[in-house]
Amino acid sequence: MLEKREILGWVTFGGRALVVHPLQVAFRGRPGVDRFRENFLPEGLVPTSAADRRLLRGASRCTSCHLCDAAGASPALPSLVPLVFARSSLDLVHARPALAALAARPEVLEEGERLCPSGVPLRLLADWLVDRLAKVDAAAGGGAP
Amino acid sequence: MTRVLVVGGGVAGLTAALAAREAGAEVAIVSRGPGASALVSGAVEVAPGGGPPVEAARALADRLPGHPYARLRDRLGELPGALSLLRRSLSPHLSEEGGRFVTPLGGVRPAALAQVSQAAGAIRAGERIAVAGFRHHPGLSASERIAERLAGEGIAASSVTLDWLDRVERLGWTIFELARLLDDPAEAARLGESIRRAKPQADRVLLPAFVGIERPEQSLKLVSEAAGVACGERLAGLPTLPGLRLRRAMDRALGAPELHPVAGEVVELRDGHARVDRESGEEELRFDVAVLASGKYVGGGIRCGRSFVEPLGGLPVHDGQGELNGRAPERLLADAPCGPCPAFEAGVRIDGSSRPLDATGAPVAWLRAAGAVLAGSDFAADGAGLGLAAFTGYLAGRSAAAGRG
Repeated sequence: MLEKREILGWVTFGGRALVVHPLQVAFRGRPGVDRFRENFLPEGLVPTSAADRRLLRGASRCTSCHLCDAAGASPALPSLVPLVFARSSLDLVHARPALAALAARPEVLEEGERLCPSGVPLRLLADWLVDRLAKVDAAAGGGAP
Repeated sequence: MTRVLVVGGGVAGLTAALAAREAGAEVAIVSRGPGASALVSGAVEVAPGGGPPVEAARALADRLPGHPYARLRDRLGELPGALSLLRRSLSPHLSEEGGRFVTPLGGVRPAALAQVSQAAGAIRAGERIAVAGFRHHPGLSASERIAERLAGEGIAASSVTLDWLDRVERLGWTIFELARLLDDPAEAARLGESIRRAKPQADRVLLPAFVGIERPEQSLKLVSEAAGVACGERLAGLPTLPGLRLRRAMDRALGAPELHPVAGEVVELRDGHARVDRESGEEELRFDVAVLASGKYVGGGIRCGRSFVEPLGGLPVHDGQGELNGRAPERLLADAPCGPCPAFEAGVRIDGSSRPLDATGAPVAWLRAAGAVLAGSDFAADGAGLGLAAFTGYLAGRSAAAGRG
C-alpha cells in the first residue's frame, strides 16, 4: 500500500508533468532552445546537435600523442583543436588566437591529419569551432545567431 | 598470381605487404595512417630480457601461453628474416644491430634494432655515460634523475647540464620544433659546442631523441664532432620524434608503386571484395586473400564501446585467455585497475597459418591477421613491441601470397 507521503509526491510531481508543464509550453510562446540561447550563449554554451555529437566522436579518438604538432609551431599547434577546444565551449574564447593562426596556415591541419595515428578529423573540428565561436560572438553582440 | 589486399599501414601492414610481394603476390595496401606504430620509442623490441631474438621470443611464449608468439611458436625461426625485411625496407632508418637502450625515465631496455641515431646511444660495456639535460626546458631537465637510475642499474652514469637552450627566448618549445632547429648544421654544431663547454666526464653523451628530423645521423655526427665526444640519443616517450621519423621512412617504403598504396579507410570487407572510403569518393577493391593489420584501439582494428567489436571481419574478440564478446569493457577495467587487464589484450585469435578463427573456432580461409589486432598481445606491457608486428606481418604476408586455404 502507498503511504500518504508517497501519494502526495505522485500527485505533486505527476500534476506538474501532466498539467502544469503542458500549460507552460502552450502559453510560453517561445521554444526552449531560444531560452537556452538567451541564457547560456553569452557564457559560451552553444547548443550541441546530434550532428555535432557525431563529429565530437571523431575528436574523442585523440590519444594525446601530439604527433600532429610536428606539422605546426606555437601557437598554430593542431593538437589544441581536439585536446582543448573541442572539449568545452567555455574555453572557446581562449581558442581565438590558435584558431586564427591555424586558419592562416591551412596546410598545418592538413599535414596534422595525415600524421594522426588515429584519424582525428582536425580540419572539420577546426571549422566547427570557428562556427561555434561566431555564434558566441553574435550572442555577445546582442543578436541571437 | 594471388591478389593480396593488406588493410592497415603500420609496421605489421608494411611487412605483410612486402613479404607478400616478395613471395610473388600482386599486392594492394590500404592505409588510413600508421596507427600505434607512430607512437614508438625508436627501438624495435622483440621480447623483454634481451639475448638473441628467437630465444627471447620463445621465453615470452613460455611465460604467456595466450600470446601470439605462443600460437606461432613453430615459426619463431622466421623472426630474423622478418626483422631483416623491415630493416631493408626502411633503410637507412634502422641500425644493423640491437643492444640495450636508455628509456626517457632512466630504465634500460633491450631491443633487436633501433633508429640509427639511437643506436649510437646504446649502452656499451665499460663506458662512462653522461646524460644531457637543459635547465630551461621543462621536459628535458631531468638528467640527474635519469643518471641516478642508471647508476642504480650498475652503469657508470653522471649528468651534465647544457646551456644550448639558454639563449632561446621562448620556453616550452615542442620536441619537433627543437628537432627542426637541429636540422640546421650550424645549430647542430652549436649544440656540440655547448657539450664541449660543459666538459662531461664521460665516453659518451646521451641526448634526448631530438637530434633532427630529416637526417638525424648527419646532425648527430656534427654534434659529436663539435663536442669532441661520441653522442647518441635516448629512447623517446610521447610526443615521439622517432615516431615521426618512422612515419616518414614508412611513407617512403609504402610509396613503392609495386605495393599499390591506397590512402583511405576500408569500411566494408567481405570475401573477395572491399569497399574503401577515400577523399575522392568510394572505391571497390577485389582480392583473393586479405590481411587484417588494422591495429587495436588506436588503429581502429578493435573497437571498445558497450562491448568489444572487430568491425571489418565481424570476428569474435578474445584476450589471451578467453572470449570477450558480451563482456562490458568498464567492468574489466574496474576489476583490474592496476595490473594487466584483458581489455588491453583484446583481439582476434589465429591458427598457425595466421588465419583468424571465427565464432565456431574454424579458420577463415580468405583472411590473415597480424600485429596489434591479434589477441593476447598487450603492446604496452609484454615488451614485444614492433618486433611482434614485423614478425606476424611477415608470416601473414607470406601465408596470404600462398593463396586461400
